Amino acid sequence: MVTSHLLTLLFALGTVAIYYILPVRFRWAVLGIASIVFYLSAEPLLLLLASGTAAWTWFAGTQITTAHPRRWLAIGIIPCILSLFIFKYFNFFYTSITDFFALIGLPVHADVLKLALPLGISYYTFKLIAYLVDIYRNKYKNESHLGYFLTYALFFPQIVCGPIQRPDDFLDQIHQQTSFNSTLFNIGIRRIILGFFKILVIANPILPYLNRVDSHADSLSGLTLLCGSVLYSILIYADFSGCSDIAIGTGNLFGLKCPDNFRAPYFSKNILEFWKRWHISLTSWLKDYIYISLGGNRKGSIRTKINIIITFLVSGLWHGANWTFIFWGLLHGLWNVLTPRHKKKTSNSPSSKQEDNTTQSNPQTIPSQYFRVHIFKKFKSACAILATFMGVTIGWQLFRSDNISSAFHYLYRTVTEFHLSYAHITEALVQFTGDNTSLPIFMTLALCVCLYASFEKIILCNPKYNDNPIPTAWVITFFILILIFGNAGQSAFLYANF
Amino acid sequence: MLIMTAKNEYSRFLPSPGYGMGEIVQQKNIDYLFIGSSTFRRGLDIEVLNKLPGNVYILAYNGCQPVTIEMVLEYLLKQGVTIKHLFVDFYPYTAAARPALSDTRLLMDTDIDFKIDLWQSLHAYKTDSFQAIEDKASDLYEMFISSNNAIILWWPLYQKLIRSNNYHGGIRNLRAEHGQTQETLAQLPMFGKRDGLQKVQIDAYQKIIQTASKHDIQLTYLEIPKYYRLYDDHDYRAFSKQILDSFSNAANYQVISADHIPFDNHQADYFNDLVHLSGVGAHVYTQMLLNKLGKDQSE
Repeated sequence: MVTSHLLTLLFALGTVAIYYILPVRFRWAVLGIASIVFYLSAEPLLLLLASGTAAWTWFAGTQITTAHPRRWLAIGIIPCILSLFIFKYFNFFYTSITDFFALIGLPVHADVLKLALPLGISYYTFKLIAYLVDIYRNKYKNESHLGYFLTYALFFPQIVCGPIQRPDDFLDQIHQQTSFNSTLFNIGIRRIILGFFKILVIANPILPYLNRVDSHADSLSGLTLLCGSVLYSILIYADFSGCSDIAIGTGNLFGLKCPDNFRAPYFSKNILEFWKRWHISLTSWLKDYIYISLGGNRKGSIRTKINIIITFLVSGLWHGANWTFIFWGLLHGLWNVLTPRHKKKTSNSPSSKQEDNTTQSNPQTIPSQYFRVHIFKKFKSACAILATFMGVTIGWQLFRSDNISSAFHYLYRTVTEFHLSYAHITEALVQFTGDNTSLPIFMTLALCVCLYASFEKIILCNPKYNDNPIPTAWVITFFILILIFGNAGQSAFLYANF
Repeated sequence: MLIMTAKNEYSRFLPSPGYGMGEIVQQKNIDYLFIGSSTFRRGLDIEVLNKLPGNVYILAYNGCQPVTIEMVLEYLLKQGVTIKHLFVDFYPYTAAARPALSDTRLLMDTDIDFKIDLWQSLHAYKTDSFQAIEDKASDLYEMFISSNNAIILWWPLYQKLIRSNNYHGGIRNLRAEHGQTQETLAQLPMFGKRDGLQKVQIDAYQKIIQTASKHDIQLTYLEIPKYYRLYDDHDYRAFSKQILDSFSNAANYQVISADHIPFDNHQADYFNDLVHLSGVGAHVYTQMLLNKLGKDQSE
């Protein structure tokens, strides 16, 4: 799979070269043809489905503005949802229903459909729906150029793992193509290096650990299972955000800006903040097209809570056709609903003034107050970050497991079999390779994770660096670490499955 | 490039962590050398083997196949090492696998020429398909660039920690480690169907016999007992028989299979999984092996 990443990069670099050789007016065609070739190389037959659905959406888009907008919205969206349902969800719902009948003593013979999941179907379907709904809502005019639209729908850097870029954002850039943008190109190269660092240095070395833990989960101690869960959290983030970085960086090489998908999510202090920082393009899509369509927060507090839960259920279902994903969505929905929403403090309020005075007080004159306010505040925020991370980690267990009961069994064993002794620590450490070489692998991984966490804290959490290239010192460090510790073996690439 | 060249050529001179080839090359004369996979490391108690008269060393690399064992033996002899008794791991499944490097520590113990030979031999049987070229490039990167960097980075700490637990290639205080329960071992999956024995691996077994004969080494193919469930596997038994049949033309070797030692392979406490003995199992087995060797010598 790593070679797939490298091949994709080589393919992208070849496309970039052709892209800039040709005159500006042909550049969209280079992107379009490259996207078709990319899709053909993965799934030749299903290209017809993807391009057919996109072409139909484009046609429906042209009709929405002419007459019967509501009808054409439905005519456009139904084939998109239907193809997603047939290819991704039909077997799941069908077997769930037959299982239910079998449970109540009415066995039904179940023949599932044997269909391959089209590449990027969840991503391009959401892009197409966004396009139709936005035209229906008069957010912008329909795209008159079919070629531009197909390029948007099948844009190859984003087809495998997003981000889900909005049509107006992408199509405007295609329309306003200009000459070579060296700043964006520079940002892109740096972003790609960061992506490869996350995948090759952080995500890939974790995979053997999880394979071992998953295959021997019943005989391992709680400490090892806990390490497995924490490492899975790191893996899923490094892998998915790494893929996103490569996709965004590749887009930048073509002079196209792509939306950020992650903003240091594991530094969130609560689940509301987490969802503003994790898979941002999906979250904002769900907010705009599901939550707001359901009424958002305009219909009272109970209805708002129900809307939030429904939105998270859809998010769960988007990730996979399994009850584990639905349950995961429900869990996050409930957690979101139960988390208190703080109203923004106005700068004139007495409490905020008092807080400002206290925080600005000199540590040498009032040490106890300084300690109480500053140190305690930091400690509190660290605890909140840790609690959110652990909650999210528990949720990821549902992603990892084949069914809900095995997820709960794993969590149950993590607690009941938890012991802290030399033997248990050794057992937890050796799972990388099964022998003593696990120790240096663990220490190197820990070092790289800490380094990356510092990078997030110093650079990504700092608004000063927004829209600026990643500082050169960091890029060189990441590049050297890829060369020295890059694991070219197995790759997880988990989000490609969604 | 300089750093990588230095790593590939000189990492073998780092102080020994208590396992690997470094100590053997330093000692030069070894009376009893056990070369094999992790089944040797986990299945032989070095503290018991030390009762043998002379130098004893266990040289074990995870998943070590006959092809690799043959190359390691040639390398040691080229370094001027003399061996009196050589015990080679007899684990038929390793002969049913295509040549592969499953333990990169081997690369830390050897010079750059060995690595080039190994890389070439791993890909010698492959066609020039796109996949083969991709595999070759990927292995080249892993073997010469990225392998063992983590170990080298933490070497001072790693060497000290590991040395306290390793001794002459074996593990100290192995006898204290208990095995699994019957229920756990019953749940472990079998290894699945194999495509048959690989000719290159069978040839390697033959070459080992020839090399041993040429250098006056007493060669024994030693099968560490596996959990009884593995012997129910048709492939395992068939491969075992085919390999032994292929030896029939050769002379100057001995086979000690699991049948030759009265070891109870139904005892779950003796096993960590289907193929690896637990510390307790290794201790019991090694004592039995020693008795067998003593008996053979007296006969």
